[in-house]
Amino acid sequence: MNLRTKVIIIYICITLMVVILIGGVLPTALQKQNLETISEKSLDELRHINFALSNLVNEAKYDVHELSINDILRTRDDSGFTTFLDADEETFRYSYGDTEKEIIEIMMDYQSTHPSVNSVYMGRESGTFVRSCERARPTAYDPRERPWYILGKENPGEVMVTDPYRSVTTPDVNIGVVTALTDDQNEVYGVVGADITLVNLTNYISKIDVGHEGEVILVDGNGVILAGRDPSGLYTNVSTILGGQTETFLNTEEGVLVLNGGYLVYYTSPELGWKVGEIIPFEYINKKINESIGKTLLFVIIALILLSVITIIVFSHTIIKPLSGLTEVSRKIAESGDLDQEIDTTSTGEIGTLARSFKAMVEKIRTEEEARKKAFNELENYRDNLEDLVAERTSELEAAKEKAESADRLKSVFIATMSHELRTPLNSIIGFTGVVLQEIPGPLNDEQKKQLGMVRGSARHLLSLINDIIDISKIEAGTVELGSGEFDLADVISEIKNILEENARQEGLGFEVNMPDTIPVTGDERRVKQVIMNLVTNAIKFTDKGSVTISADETGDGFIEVSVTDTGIGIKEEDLKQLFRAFSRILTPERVTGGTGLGLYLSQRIAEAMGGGITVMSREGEGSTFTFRFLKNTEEER
Amino acid sequence: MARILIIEDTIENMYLTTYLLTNAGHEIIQATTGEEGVEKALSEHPDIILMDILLPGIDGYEATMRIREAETDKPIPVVALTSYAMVGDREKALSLGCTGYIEKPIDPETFVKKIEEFLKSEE
Repeated sequence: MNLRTKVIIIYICITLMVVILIGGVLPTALQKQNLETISEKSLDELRHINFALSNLVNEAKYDVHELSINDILRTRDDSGFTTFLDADEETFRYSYGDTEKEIIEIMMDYQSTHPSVNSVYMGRESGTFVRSCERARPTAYDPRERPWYILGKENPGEVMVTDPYRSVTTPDVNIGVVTALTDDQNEVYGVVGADITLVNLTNYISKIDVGHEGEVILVDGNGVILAGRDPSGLYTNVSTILGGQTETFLNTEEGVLVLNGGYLVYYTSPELGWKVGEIIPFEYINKKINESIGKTLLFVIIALILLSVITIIVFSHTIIKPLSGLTEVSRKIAESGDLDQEIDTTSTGEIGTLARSFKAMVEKIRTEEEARKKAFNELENYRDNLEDLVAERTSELEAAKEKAESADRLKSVFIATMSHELRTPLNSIIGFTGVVLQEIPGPLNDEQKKQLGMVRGSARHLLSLINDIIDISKIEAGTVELGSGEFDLADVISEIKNILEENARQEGLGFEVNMPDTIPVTGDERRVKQVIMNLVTNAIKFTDKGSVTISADETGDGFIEVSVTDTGIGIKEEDLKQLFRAFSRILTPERVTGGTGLGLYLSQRIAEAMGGGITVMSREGEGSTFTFRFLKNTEEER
Repeated sequence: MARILIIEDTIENMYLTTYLLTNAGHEIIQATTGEEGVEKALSEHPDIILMDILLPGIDGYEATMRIREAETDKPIPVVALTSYAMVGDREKALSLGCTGYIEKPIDPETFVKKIEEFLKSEE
């Protein structure tokens, strides 16, 4: 839900609350106020009606007074006037004298100017009765007994208004406006009057525009209804309508009463003493209230809508739009990672602060990002450099290795060549010496044989020296290649025994072998043989008396151990370290015969190449034990 | 009695070998280079060839291979005379078609016997 929707929803809620509040509270408040307004208005109307009514009555009164001072009407001689004192309805005939006719004409004039007056009349002390129009029925009639005559007679010099009274001959209810005729001595000799029928009064009142649907009623001081919309209610007591409130109504000047169907607003005429009232139906008030509420609601709703629209527009421009902009920018940054976004910071207030903070944040991120990129680039450059460096070093090393290898190859070629070159002459020296010594070309004397034997011995020594040097140079170059094959070590040792046992015996030594019948081995038979030969030869060489013993067996942990023990001169402890060095000669010169000084060194190297080594235990003067240890299967190791 | 082709570039060694074998009653054919050796091997059909390995021109291995490629009859046994110097020589010689192998320097007391053993095993 976006901000705009939220704002709209908030406004809708506020509007609803306001409407409910207005709908719930306003009617009650308005009812009272409306009633006051209406009753106020109604009272105004009632005063207006009263004014009109007073005018009507005052006019009538004034004109009745005018009549009372009219000379013709004041005529004292009323002998010729119509009298109904002894009138018989069947036989009565109207016959007017001249004066009477004149009076009737004046009366007719009066009547014509007062539409609500239905008759003008005059009674005399003599009992005569002159009237503007003929009576409905010419019944016997004595004016002196009538209330209007009595009222007038009792109040000479004043114009009086009678209480409503019912006509003798018609159903009309009238009020009379009367005044007495008096002579010089203030003696009353007659009464003049004009009758206003209540129906006419009602007609008159109803002609007054009161502006609404209220019913106007007119009630006299006794509570008799003088005028009203309902003609059947005329001349009845107002208590039929008001019930218990009649007292209040009659005893107060003005007020509002609640009736069954509406309110009664009333006002007492100060001049007439009558009460003018207006009955306003509840519906009218409610209608008014509803109209008011409707108008108020309409106004409020329009106002709220306007407010909402204005707020949303303002909101949209000052908050939503800048926020949307920020949101959009954030989204773009999150999606693309591109920090080069335009950020609008023109807003003021919190939004502006937010935008500026956001911009500052983006700037900071960008700065850091750039720094990071720079660092990364540097790192990358360095890495590339490093790669180059490594590559350079590698190629240098490769070149060096190449050089070394080519040097190695040169060395190998040199060794091979030297070997061949040295051996070729030795081949013929040893070969021909052998041929001569075999006396194939011809017989030799003893001295010749002896000397040739020495030549052959020296040649063989030279050959073994050459062989040892070749071996050592190969070992030191790391190019020792071990032959491989299965052989029985027991056979090899037996062979060595066969070769060297005779030598030992010649030296006066015992020669013993302790080993199992068979010792299967996988490896370089010739090298193994070479090492053991070397050890046994040495043992024989350095033992003057006693014996040489060869012991051989598997060790159980995948190795073979061959020990050569002698009872010879032994080795000094300080000399032991030098024992396996090349060309080390720790012995007296006379012992050196036939030795190259390379044998043990070479043997040690060969043993190491076979995964083992040669160890020595010796005690000077008691003898030595050399132990040759090597892998039972050198194949597997490689 | 056998016809033996000796391929050997050193005069002294050629003489020694020839002397020993002639003395034992064999007929000797001599060649001093690999090419000559191949040629004589194919033309003379000797009973056995003694092949020196280090030769000027093509070496003993190459010569042996050429003989093996060219010969049509039963292969002539070739005994390589190699130095002790190179450990791989023996295996290499045998893998390239040599029948046997004798280390130099030769032992004049056992040499003739060894050659005769090769001849005997070939028959």
